[in-house]
Amino acid sequence: MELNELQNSWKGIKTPRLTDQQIYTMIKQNDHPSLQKGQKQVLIESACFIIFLFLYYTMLDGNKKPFYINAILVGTVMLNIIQQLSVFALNKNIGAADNIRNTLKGYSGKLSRYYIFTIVTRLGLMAGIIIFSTYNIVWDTNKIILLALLMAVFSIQLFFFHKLWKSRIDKVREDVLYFRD
Amino acid sequence: MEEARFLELIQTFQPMLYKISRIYRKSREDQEDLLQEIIYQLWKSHRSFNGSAQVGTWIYRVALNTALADFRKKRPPVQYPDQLPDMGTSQEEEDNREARLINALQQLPDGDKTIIMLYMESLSYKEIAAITGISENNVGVKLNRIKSKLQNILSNGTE
Repeated sequence: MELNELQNSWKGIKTPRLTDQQIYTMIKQNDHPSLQKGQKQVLIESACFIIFLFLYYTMLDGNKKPFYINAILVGTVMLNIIQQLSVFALNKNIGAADNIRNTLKGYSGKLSRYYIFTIVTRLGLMAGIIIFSTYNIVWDTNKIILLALLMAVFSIQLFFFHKLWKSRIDKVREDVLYFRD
Repeated sequence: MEEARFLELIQTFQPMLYKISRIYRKSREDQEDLLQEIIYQLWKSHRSFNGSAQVGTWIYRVALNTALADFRKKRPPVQYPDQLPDMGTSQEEEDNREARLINALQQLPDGDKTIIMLYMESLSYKEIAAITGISENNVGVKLNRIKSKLQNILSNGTE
């Protein structure tokens, strides 16, 4: 295929037409499938954190522990709720700087900040739960195993998060490099 | 920009938006998601469009930014036949030619897709440079490389 032919073939590609109503539906956030799906997941996880905050004080003997231990746990859980909700800001607007390279550069920075914030808040939550649950505890083998299991679950979750987001950030950085003179 | 004007703009540019979603995503479902994401991102950023650039330039920029930055689960690619059938109607030949071109473009790295797409849309080197952020000279250098990659893919099925 010659290059002129290439341009002609490109211009000749048949495209379906969307109606005004279909476009209107697409621009309404509530009808946006990927955002809706993400929204649901974030809201469910945030609701779980909030329920935990309401229940832990009596169910997990928070009332028998000092104020600062409760404050650490509540603080780390609250930070995780903020982290969950911050993903909306990330997806809502990719940005439109003066050119593609600058937009992707800005977006890559945004992704990196979200990645670091998530890692820090998750590590904080892990520390908060460990401090809370091990305060004034009499250790035995079962409790040590339970704590090790809890740490393993957190670590696996963090590992997969790191793997996924590292590849996303690397992909955007690769594109930024491509558009560098 | 009011809603009616925005809808009118999308109607004008939707063939280009549709083609972008076809070369950046392989499965039909991913293409539809990307098209929707592009239109959504255009709507979200239309208020920040101050008219200093041409509206077409702004649409290319937002659409390509979205295609490059949008992450979706990879679905199995649609496989197109490598060979044209021996005999066929002109419509079939045209469809095959279109499928071969899209298939070849899908095989290019994302950055290459951006440059060649703008070239096929008949934009000048200057306009491509302004949209992407690279110099006009570099546009020329990259285009030559992409063209030869594309020729190889179209003739041999690989870069």
